[in-house]
Amino acid sequence: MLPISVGLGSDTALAAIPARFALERGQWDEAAQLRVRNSEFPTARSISYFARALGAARSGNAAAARAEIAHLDEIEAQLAAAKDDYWAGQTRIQKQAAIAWVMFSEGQRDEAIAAMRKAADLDDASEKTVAMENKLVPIRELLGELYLAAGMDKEALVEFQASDKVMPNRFRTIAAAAAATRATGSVEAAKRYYRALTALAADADGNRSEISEARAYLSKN
Amino acid sequence: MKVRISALAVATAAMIASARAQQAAHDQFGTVHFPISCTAVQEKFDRAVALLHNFFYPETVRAFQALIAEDPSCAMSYWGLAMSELPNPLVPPFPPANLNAGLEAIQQGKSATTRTPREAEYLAAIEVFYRDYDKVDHKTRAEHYEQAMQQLHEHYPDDPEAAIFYALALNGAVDFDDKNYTKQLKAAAILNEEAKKQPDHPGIAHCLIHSYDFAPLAAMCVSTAELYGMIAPAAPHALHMPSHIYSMLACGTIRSAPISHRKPPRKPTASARSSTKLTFSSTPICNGRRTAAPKSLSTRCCPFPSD
Repeated sequence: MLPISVGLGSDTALAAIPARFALERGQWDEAAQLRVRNSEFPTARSISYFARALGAARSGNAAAARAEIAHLDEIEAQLAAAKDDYWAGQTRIQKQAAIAWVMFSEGQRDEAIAAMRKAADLDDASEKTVAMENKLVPIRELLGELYLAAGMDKEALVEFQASDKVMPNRFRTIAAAAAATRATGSVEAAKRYYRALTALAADADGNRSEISEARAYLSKN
Repeated sequence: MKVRISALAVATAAMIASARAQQAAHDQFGTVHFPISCTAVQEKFDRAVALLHNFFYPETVRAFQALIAEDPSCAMSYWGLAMSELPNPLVPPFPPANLNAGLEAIQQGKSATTRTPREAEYLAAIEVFYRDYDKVDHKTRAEHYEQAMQQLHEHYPDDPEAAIFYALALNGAVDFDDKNYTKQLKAAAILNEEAKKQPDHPGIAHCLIHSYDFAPLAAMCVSTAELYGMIAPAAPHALHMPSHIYSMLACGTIRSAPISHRKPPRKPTASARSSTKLTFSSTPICNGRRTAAPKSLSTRCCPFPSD
């Protein structure tokens, strides 16, 4: 019987799996409540604290989000002290993105966008490592989502298109791109995204609201 | 970022054909032959190295320990043990106990009597990684090991294992700020060349996935990802590795991902074969060009519409 954890790669996976499950479904309350699995690797705990921070901020609990960000601060300092520059940088990106959503929840729209853009640029400049099968979330997609939440649909679409070039075929990206184009009144473009979304989920067995919306929109337009 | 599409597709086609033909004949960990001077344990050594190419820790440790017990004079078994003490050699940090055990294995290997100059160089190369592990940081040691493996590869250009382990060492010393992916593509070039000669080698397919395990490169590796699980279906890591490529592209994944986490059948079934074929045929369409006419799977492969 193999031990469950044999190192960093196992611990990041065990932290990332529940975090992805909550974040990909936009279940912010669930993300905010994620258990922080005990790990000797600060990087693995960073994943959980980031998901909790984002979940809290996006479900309107700025105070709780700030407490999670304080954990990210500690982890970043710990990694930097250990001269683990790569993982310190990854935590810095997570922290920056979480702070942006806290700012947005507190009504500082422009500051939030600037902070989120900085996080996305940092993320684009960094590479994934083998210790993660993939990056946890595309940070540029979060910038698109922030624009979308701010009602800046055209700006949102630019970011979704840019994110898709790096991390293609994501359900969240395409669903959000559909919502952004729909909000701008570009019916044909919205239909193309919705068709892409239904094709992507052709074999899906769940009942996602995005798919219901896509089908409803396509039948009316 | 300049990345040229390599001749991988051709090499991979050959690998797929051969993997199908030989699936029943070879071991469930892939086919490896690493000739050593301890001829009495050659066959067991090959199998242990196959485990090593599949990162099958801690089975690797046990396999090389058993070899040492059988013939304590065989230097290369200590090399294997030292290599095995890195559970996943590409994911540091390593527990000090493992690093210490690796260094001890090397010391014992250096006094083992059955060895050739080539085998002594293998031991000396991995010693570069372990030496002063408590004083020198991982990155520096990984780079020194890469250089030592480059020399070994240059001294023995006809030794495929030297080439493959050099490619792995390149992956272990990757510079994540290098958006030209210099070391990754250097490794991939070596491996693609070897793949033509050893299509069932688990280390080649495995290390190719690591070499292409970056967003701009991943599309070049969809078929190899599918193939690796077929080459080494008994190795848990071989069943896991395709998800690196699949999750990055959400491409060729809808049908294949669940398969990659199940143990594939001993002989590929008709559905497994057609799945490979589908994935393979989708590759050219996924190479970042979204203008190709969509066909079945490819509509799921690249659905993001451009305006």
